[in-house]
This record gives sequence, C-alpha cells and structure tokens, in this order.
Amino acid sequence: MLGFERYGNGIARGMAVTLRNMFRRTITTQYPEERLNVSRRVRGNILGWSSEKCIGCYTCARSCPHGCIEITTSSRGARGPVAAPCNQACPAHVNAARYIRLIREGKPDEAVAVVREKIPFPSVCAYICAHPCESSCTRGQLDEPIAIRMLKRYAVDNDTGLWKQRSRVAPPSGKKIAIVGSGPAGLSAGYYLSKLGGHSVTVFEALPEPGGMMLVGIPAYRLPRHILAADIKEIEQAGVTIETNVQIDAPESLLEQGYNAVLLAVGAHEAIGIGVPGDDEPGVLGGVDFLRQVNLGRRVELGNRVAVIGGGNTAMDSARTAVRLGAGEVTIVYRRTRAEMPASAEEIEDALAEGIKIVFLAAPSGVTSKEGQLLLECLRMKLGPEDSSGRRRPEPIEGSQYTMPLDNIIAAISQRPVVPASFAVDTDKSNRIQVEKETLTTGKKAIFAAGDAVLGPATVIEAIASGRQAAISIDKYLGGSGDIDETLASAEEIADRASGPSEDWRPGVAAIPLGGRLDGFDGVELGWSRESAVFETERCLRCDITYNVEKYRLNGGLCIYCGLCVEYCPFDALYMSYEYEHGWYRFGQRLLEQEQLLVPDKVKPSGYAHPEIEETLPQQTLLIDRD
Amino acid sequence: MTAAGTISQASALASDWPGNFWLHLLVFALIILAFVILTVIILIWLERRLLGRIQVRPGPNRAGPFGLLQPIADVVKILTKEDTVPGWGDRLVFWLAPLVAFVPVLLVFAVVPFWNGALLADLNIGILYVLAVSSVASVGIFMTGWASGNKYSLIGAMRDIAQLISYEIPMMLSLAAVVLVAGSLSLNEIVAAQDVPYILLQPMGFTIFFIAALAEANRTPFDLVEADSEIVAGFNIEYSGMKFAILYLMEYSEVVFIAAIATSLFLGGWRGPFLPPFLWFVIKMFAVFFVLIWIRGTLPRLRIDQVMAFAWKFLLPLALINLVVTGAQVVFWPQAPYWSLVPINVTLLAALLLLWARFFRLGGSRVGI
Repeated sequence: MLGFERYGNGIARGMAVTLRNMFRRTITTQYPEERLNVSRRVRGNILGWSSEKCIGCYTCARSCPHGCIEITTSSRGARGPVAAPCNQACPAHVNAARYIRLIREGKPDEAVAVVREKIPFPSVCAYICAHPCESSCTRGQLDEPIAIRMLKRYAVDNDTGLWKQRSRVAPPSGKKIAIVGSGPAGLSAGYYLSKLGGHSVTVFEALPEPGGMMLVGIPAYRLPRHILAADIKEIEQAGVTIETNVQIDAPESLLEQGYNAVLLAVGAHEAIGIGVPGDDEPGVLGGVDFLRQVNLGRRVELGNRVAVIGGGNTAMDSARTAVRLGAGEVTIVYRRTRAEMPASAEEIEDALAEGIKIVFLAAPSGVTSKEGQLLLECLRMKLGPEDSSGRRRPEPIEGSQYTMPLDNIIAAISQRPVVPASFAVDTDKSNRIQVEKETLTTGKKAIFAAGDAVLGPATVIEAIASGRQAAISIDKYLGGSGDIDETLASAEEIADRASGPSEDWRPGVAAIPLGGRLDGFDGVELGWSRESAVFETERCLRCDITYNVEKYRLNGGLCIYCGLCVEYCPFDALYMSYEYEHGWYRFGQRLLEQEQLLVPDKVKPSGYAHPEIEETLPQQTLLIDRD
Repeated sequence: MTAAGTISQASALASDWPGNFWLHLLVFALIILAFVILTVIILIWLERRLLGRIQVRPGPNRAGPFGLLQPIADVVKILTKEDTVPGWGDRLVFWLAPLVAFVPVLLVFAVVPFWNGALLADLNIGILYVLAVSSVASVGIFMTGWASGNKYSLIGAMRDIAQLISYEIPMMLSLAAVVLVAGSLSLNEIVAAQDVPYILLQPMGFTIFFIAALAEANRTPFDLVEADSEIVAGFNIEYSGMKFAILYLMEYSEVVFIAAIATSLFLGGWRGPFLPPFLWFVIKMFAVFFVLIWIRGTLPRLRIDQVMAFAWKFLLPLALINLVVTGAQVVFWPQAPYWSLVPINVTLLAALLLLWARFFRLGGSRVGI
C-alpha cells in the first residue's frame, strides 16, 4: 500500500482541494472604474489626503520639489489635537510654539511669561540651551529649524517683567527643605518648592558662588555672568536662601538639623580620564576641572600647544577657553567624524572659526613625558558598524600610531557625579545616584536626588526638568498638592494667519568680531533685533494650530509620486501607495467592510463609487488631470 | 454486446447526407472546422475561468459578459503582434511547421461521429486512422523546434517526440482492447456497440488511454514540451503572431480531439436518453474538458525521467495485462452479462493499480533530455 499512499493519496487529496476551491468565493481586489481615468504614467500610484488629520501646516506644499501641491487654508486657527513637536521635545515642556507666536505679535514680555511657566532660568536657556526643540522642529525637515533659542533670547532681552504681576506665591507651609548643590536642578527645585509650595528652602553650595555647572562648566563668553546672576537673583527673591562655601557630607545630619526633606543635586563634576597609560602625567587636565578653575577666576598655567580629547560640548568649551587663555595651537582629537560629534553644530562652527583644529578619527593610546613636554600617542581609527547609540563605532587601525608633541592635554571625554561615601546612597557603576524614576526618591527616607547626579552628564534643560520633577515629588512628600504649574501669560488668543509660512531661511546671528573675541570672555553671540526675530517667527509652520483647509489639490501632471510629502507630513494626513488597488484597499479597510471592496465578477467599481457610503469616507483627492 | 442498438441504427444519417457525396464532404468539412474552432474558443475561456476558480480568483471577467469575449480579444491581440522569423532559423520549415502540426489534428475529426452516421467518413479502420494521423502532429512540433534554431525549442520538440513514442504504445494497446470488445475499428460502430459505456467495461483501458492521451496532447502534468521553468516556453518560443495562434489552436484542438475520442470510445459517444444525440456528445466532451482542466489545476509537472519511467514501467505492463484479460473475456465468456463483467473489471483495475503502485519506483536511473 505504500506506493499507492505516496502517489494516489496525494493526487486524490489535491484533486479534492482544487474541486473545493472552485466553489469558494474568489478573493481578488478589483481595479476600480476610476482606473480608466488614470494616466498610464501614474497607474499604480495613489496619493490620498485626509482632511481629518491635516492641519494646514503647509509642510507638504513646501516639501514638494515640483510645487505640485496647492493648499489654501482659512486664516483662523484653533488649537490642534496634538502639542507641537518642539513642545513635546523639550524636557521641561516649554511651549515654544506659543511664545514664537507671541513674539510674532510683538509681545516679548508675554513670551517670557510663557517660558517662565515651566522653567525658572529663561535667560540661561536663552543663551546656552541645547535646544532639543530645534532638533525636532517640523520646519527642520524642510530646510532649517526655527531658531527657537535665538527667539527666546530676543524675548528675554526685551523683557519688561510682566510675568511678575501674575506670579503666584503660596502661603508658608512651615516645612524646611535642604538642597545640596546650586546647579540648575537644585535651584529649579528650590524655586518651585519655595514659591509654589510655600516651603522654606535652603540651598547649600560647596563652591564660593552659586550656579553649579552653569557657572563653572559653561564659559562666560557663552553665558555672561550677569545673565546667570539675574536669574539666580529672581530665585533668591522667591525665598530661596543660598549658602555658599558649605560642604555637606551627610544628608542625615541635615534632617537632624530640622530639615524635613533633602534634595541631592550635586551634579557631575568629576572628569573621566583618557584611560590610557600615562594619563596621570602633570600637564594632563580634566575638562571640567580645567573649566572650573578658569570660571572661578583661578589661574591656570597653559602651554602653547594644547590638545583636547573628546567631541562633546565640554571639549568645545575647553578648547575655546584654552584659546582665550593664550594657547596658540589648540587641537581637538576626536575618535569619530564630525557627523557623530555630540557637540552642537554652532559650537563646532565657532570653534573652527576661532582657529581650533579638529583631528577626526584619532584616539589617544598613550601619554609620555619627555624633556618637559608631553607626547600624545594617537591611533588612527576607522568607522565600524553602528553601536547601541546608533553611531558608528570607531575601530583602531593597526600600526597607525603617531605622536603629537604637546604642552597640555585636556581630557574632555565625559563626566561623572562625585557622590561621597558619607552620603550613603546607592550608586551605579558610573557613580549616578540610584533613584526611583517617577518620584526621584533615593533608598533613604526624605532624601531625594535630581539633576546630573542622577542623569549623568546632561544638559541644563534636562537638569531643570529633573529639578521640577523633584519639586513635585518633594511637595507631595511634605503633604502638598505637587502642583507647581502657574499661569503667567495671558489667555491665548490665536491671531489670524495672514499667509502661509515664509519660504526664507534663518536670519543670521550677529557675533562680536573674531579679533575682539579671543582676548577675553565677553559674550560672543549678540541678540536679534525685532525685525530679525519677527522675520524668523514667520517661518514657523504653526504645527500645533489647526487651520481649516479650504482647498487641497495635487497637480497630478507634475507629481512624480516621489513620496516626500508623505514622509514630511508630521500628522500622517497623507498616504501614498505604489499599489493602486492596495491603496484603495488600505484606505477602505478603515471604513468599509472588507467584503464590500472585494466584489468579484461585478462590473461595479470598488466601494468608493458607492454613493451610499461616500459620506463616511474622508475627503481625499486623487486628481489626475492630464495624460 | 455485439448486437448494436437497432433503434439507433435505424435513425442513422445517410452516408451521403445531404444528398451528394461531394456536398457531404464539403458540408462536413465546414462543420468540423467550425466545430473545432468554436469548441477551442469555448475551451480556452472555460479553462481560464476554471483555473481562476481553482486558484480562488475570478479569471478573465472584463471582456464581455463573464469575460466571454476574452478569447476574441486574445486573437485580436495575437494577430496584431509582429510576425518574426529568427534569422538563423530554417525559414521554410518555420513557416510550414504550424500547418503541419495543426492539419493532422483537424483531420482526426473526419472519423468522429457527432451522432449516428453524422461523420465525414465512416472508415472501417477509424481508430487506426486516428492513431496514425494524430501522430503526424508531432512531426509538425518537431519542425517548429528544428526551424526555430533555438536550443530550448529543440529540447521541447525532442521531449515531444520522446513522449509521443513512449505513450503511443500503451494508448494503442488500450484501444486494441476496446476494439476487441466492440468488434469493429469504426468509431461509429464502436459507439453504436456501447449499450453500456466502455468506461465501465474497460475501466483499465480508459485509465491508460486517458493518461496516455494527456501525454500525447502535452497537457499537464505531461507538459514538459513547454515547461517554462526549464526550457522557457518550449517548442513555440520563437513563434509570434498568426503562426503562434495556429500552434495555440493546435494544442487546444488536440485537447478537443482527446475529449472527442474518449467520448466516442469510452463514454458512449452520442448515445443517451431524452436529449438529442449531438447534445449528448457535446455534454460528454465538456465533462472530459472539465476533468482535464481540473487535473491541470491540481497536478504539478513531472520530470522527464518520471514521464518516461511511468510510460514504460507502469502503463505498458498494465496495458498488456488489460489486453490479455479482455481477450480472454471475449474469447471464453462472450455472453457474459454486464452486471458480472463490470464489477470484475473494476475490481481488476483497483487490484492492478494497487499492485503496480507497489512495484513502481522512481529514481535510480534518470533519463536526461
């Protein structure tokens, strides 16, 4: 029977299957009748547009290389369903889109009030924020993101202090809070706890001046000291007491002194060494150590030839500071390429403009000292596959060593927090204080931690956001409501949009001339005039405002179905498929019974031609007007 | 069994209908031409529709109601194609080959009875004529392969010859058994002799005939001649335009021919109750079409070595046994009643199939062609 089973059984079963298939309902997507009007060139493509999702931001029209999307919107807008990408990207959720509109309306003081609703350091952020908002700006997909930081700078430069009139001060709660560290995280937390929680806040600072990394990590040419001092003064006016030159060794002792809660915001101030033999030679400095010495006004002896190891903002700051201290030949050594550099683009530009050389794809492999000069031995690198951070991992090239004779080496690779053992809190292997993510509580009662001490080396805005989070958490811990939001700006009235966003590029930013720059630590960047600021605000696509789209047309004769508009649309309002039938099918799936679309053997077109369901379909356009 | 139905004989069409010998030839030649071409068109449509249904899709449904005009559209398309002849081919043979392939298939229908006596020529050597003439079509196919000057088309043609020679033998033996039972070589006589369709009396013969006919007509699973995945398109690779259309017509005419012969020899031809005889003939033919299409929609293509082994190791011995058994039945038990003969023969078929399925093994020595 074996043979018969092998052949006969298989054949019989196959015949049964095919016979059964003959009586099954056929599954075939039909070409809709509209196909007959579709030009031969574009047959197989479909571009759909959903009026429900479109907010009239013009991104698609601007992105089209052929200019074949024609869009007309109403001038009246309303709050859209989602926050703008800039708002979402900001760790502290500052509503950038809104203050850009206020600047456009000529109300910089209102704009500052909007910023103040979320952060107590508007001026500091206006000067040195790492602006994740600009990185996510919708306009950035098209040409250049809106210069949000520069607009904020224009606003704070023209502030009249309007926000103070609406400022809310909570009644005293009688609770005392100690904050260790006067950086952005500590001061932000202190500000909100004092002003909106009504607590009595004391900030302890080990250094002689408050400000933390804003003071000792960021050179004065980027953040002029009077700007920082003004922001800190506002915080002090809100009731925060700052005690400098006080080193706290044990947070428990503060609790014993009568404080109800302690926040550890000690920052990340210890430079990580190069990690090669000889990195403890005299003349090898840590990046943040070097900056701290300089920023506290202490004297640092630098030779003529300085190498800075690393590619972050600390490396740029160290290099540019070294130039200002008189080093004639400053070289940045970075093991990857410019595309992978974590430093912000304008920092790199400025560094290059100030005559700093950057050696890419080189990593130090050893430091030796000889006749009073340092020899930095470097290895050439090549880029390998991507690592977990999405950047290509550098791989050393064997036998490519070369040496650089130097006077000083500044290791600006990374930083880590200094957490004394006497704090007795849990830390991880990079010395970060371990906290519960939501509440920022350490393992010990009434002791919280925030800022770089928790995050590792991060940005000012992230530290502020962390400080806000700590303030909420501590307020709740002390029996408060945890509500630290306040309304400082007047209720929003969305002004009519005169026209779509302008098609210009960013206006340039004035800076002090190169010659005058290198002699001192004056602020390099100059602010914008009213004209420049308004010019820039007109570029904003207003992607958090919904405008009623009156007309949306695709010129099918010009369209090459490249799909750029679909890529750029931030709201998924456009849909494209190269498979015409499947395009209809996918749109239909949401709205139609699947069976309705799959009518076999009928001359009727797909469900889209059924008038009875046409009402339920999204307005969409498939306009093909010439063959 | 040998007593042919006298009632049907009585209503037989006169051999010179409609009155004149030459007129008879002319009328029947036209009828055959129209019948074959019309049936081929319907068959092509039916095949595409049924294959569609088998594959759970509608099949052609745009040209005309139910896509009925699709074959017409295809013909128009084919006729407007550029008619090319390969420069390195044999030009004369290339032109001649489609005709040489098509005409014999058409000739076969001269002896196929549409109803009693309604045939071009009631030859007393009908089956012999059918086998002889239908084989000539392979000469035409070989000519296409040769004249194209293309290795793929030559391989396809060679496969056709190999297949034809192999399957002709079991086919002839199975038909010989039918002849033994019917006692005549004339197709009309054989149909008239079928008080019981010979598919019941000769189940083994029908099985062998049907399989061999599939192979002769190059139908799936024996369509190695045009195996796209192996030899691109086989013998007709260089053909286009009208010449391709004729080859296409030839292929489907062969299917019609198989169906007509199977109907006449095994399914009782034009015989049947109530309906007019011609309608019975057509209904039975379309039943055979259906099975052919069904098989095409189900079975995968065989390898050339499997095809050869199947003919020589499986069909030939069974056909020989069948001939011997049938001969013995005719000689020693001529008056056997149907109710005993039919179960005996069906049981014999099942037993032999099972037995041979156990004997039959593929592999070992593969034939490469």
